Amino acid sequence: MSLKDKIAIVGVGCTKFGENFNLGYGDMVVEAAYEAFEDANVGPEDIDAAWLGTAFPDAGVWKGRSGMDLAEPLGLFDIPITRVSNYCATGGDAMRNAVMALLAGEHNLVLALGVEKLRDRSPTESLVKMQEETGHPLYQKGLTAAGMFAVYATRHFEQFGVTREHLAQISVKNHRHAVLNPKAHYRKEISLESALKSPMVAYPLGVMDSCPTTDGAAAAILCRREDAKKLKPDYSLL
Amino acid sequence: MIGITSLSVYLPSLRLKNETIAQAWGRPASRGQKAVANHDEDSLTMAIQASLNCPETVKKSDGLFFASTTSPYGEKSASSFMATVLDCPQGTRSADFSGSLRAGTAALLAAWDGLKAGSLNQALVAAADCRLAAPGSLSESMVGDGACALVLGKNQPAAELVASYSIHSSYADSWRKSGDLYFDIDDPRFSQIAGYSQNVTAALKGLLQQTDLKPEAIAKLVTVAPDLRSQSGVAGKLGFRPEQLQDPLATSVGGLGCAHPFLALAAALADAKAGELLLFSAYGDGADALLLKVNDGVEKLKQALKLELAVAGTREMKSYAKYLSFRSLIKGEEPKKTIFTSTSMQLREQDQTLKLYGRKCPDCGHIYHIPVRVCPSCRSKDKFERVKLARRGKIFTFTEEYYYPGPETPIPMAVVDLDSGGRMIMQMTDTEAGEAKVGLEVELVFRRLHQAGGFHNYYWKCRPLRG
Repeated sequence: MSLKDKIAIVGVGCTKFGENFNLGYGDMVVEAAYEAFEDANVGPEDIDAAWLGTAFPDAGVWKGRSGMDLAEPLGLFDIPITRVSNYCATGGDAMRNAVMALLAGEHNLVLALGVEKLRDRSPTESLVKMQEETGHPLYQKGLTAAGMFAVYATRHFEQFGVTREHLAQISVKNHRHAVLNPKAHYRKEISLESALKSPMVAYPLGVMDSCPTTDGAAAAILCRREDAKKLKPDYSLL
Repeated sequence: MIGITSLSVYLPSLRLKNETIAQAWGRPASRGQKAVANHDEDSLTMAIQASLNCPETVKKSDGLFFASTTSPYGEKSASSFMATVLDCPQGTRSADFSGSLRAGTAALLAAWDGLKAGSLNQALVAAADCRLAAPGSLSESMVGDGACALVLGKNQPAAELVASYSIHSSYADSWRKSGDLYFDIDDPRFSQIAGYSQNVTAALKGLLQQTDLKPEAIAKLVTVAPDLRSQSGVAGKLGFRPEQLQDPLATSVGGLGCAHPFLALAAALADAKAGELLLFSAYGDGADALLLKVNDGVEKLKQALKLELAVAGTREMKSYAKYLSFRSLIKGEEPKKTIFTSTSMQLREQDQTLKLYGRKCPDCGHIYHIPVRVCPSCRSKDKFERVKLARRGKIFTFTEEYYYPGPETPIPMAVVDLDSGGRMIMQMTDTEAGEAKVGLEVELVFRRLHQAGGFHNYYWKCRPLRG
């Protein structure tokens, strides 16, 4: 069964991404959720169920280990909230689960929200520290998140003739797009040369090939297609 | 006939020149260099490397003796741990010898007694040391790090053990109190009189008398003195000619503590011919003297020895500060950390983490290093065969980690396809940045990964295959 054109996004919200030293985990939840409520022309009382995505509570501020961390900042104490964690697919998976609930007919208007608060620690105290301190005490010790992808890149280079220049072009393109996005972490164009010259993180990936340690939250309000029109005439379809 | 059937020398790849030490302290430079353990090496890992290099299979040994004055534990047996890593069967007797620079020969003599008495059939004796001299002290450039392992058996030994004689003494010219980091040395003028010269002379004299031999009958005198003058002094006094003296290689690698007599013996055996007699002694709190008779088996031992390669080293330790940090004598910027570890987990998983066994799926043939219950390739359940993994392989892919904390960055991480089948991811060591390549041949080496849970966590790493 295809999901195509069955589910509508009626509202979205997003904080500025970056080093949000002035915002806590709950602040970002509120900012993203209320922007989405406003976009959808609904209030928190209209939401039937919610999914909260946070991948790394232990590398951040120990928030996002249960649905409670969405319930508390939004005052949503009387609906089911599920916490989803699936590494970098966390936010997308929160949304996928929300879609399933809508299609099952169990809920009518739902919120999917992803939030990560990493920058109350320095980058080396955050994800790198998680890699060093947790997980199997022997296997893979020495590998960071960047390194996990780097070993794929090395092999890909070897097998398919891809080079660092090819990867750098992705970074150049992404930075160009970020200039147009007021909520992006870095809004500065970079040249191919500077991308290639950036310091190594995990060979062959340099700083410009890697994501910065970022704070941010994003939310989407979803319903079945037939219910969308009355909430928002220009809804988007999944 | 009981004797040494194989002998191997393991020296760390790093060499620290006396010149580098002198420069750091603003002193005139002297010649020579010493072997220094990498940051992930200690006496236990070096003894294991030496033992793994012993061509004689350790599996047949029913005795495993470890000798060191610098065991990584004051309480916890290094030899028992070694027996696990070396995959010795239960029933193997293991024991640690310590407390003296004579610990190596003490272990050898105990093993010999075991074989003579018939309670042991074959014994592995591994001696290793990694002694710390106070930074800036005169001893600093004199002590090096390294290990030797030998197998004592009855099957065509390279050198038969013929006789022994021991001297004990309440005097030692070097010592280390319990809890101290560095060893102390006595007034060198006095130790030249009361130390090596007196004890070794007495031990050698005693042995020559016991065996009714004259110095002319001996092909090589193999001893390790704190200084070369004492060594030739003793030899001369007993009537040995200078050419009978074996060079103990101390200026190339430093003094290897209780392992050094075996390095000198290895050097003597590398030049020995069948029928020759070797007079071998170790000094420390007295002296042990042994008479060895070289046999035909020595040719096989020579082929396996590769002594020059081990002595040469492959990398220079150019920074004195780094040397100090490798020995934890200065602390660099290091965040406080609590690495998760677990004794129950490590005991449960030692088959793969220490003994290096993998699991082979009989249905599809896939080999996994980390055991699985259900084959990820064909979903066969609980059918796996236990297979020993090879300690050699080729890099399938790799990365170099610039941000993972450690005494040396970047840390190369290699995904290695083992020659036996099976794929492992592990750190690379004894290597320079940029050396890792897809397809590079590597060997697995046993190293100390970190110290979590208040104990040493050991695991395998890989390094470029050299020589």
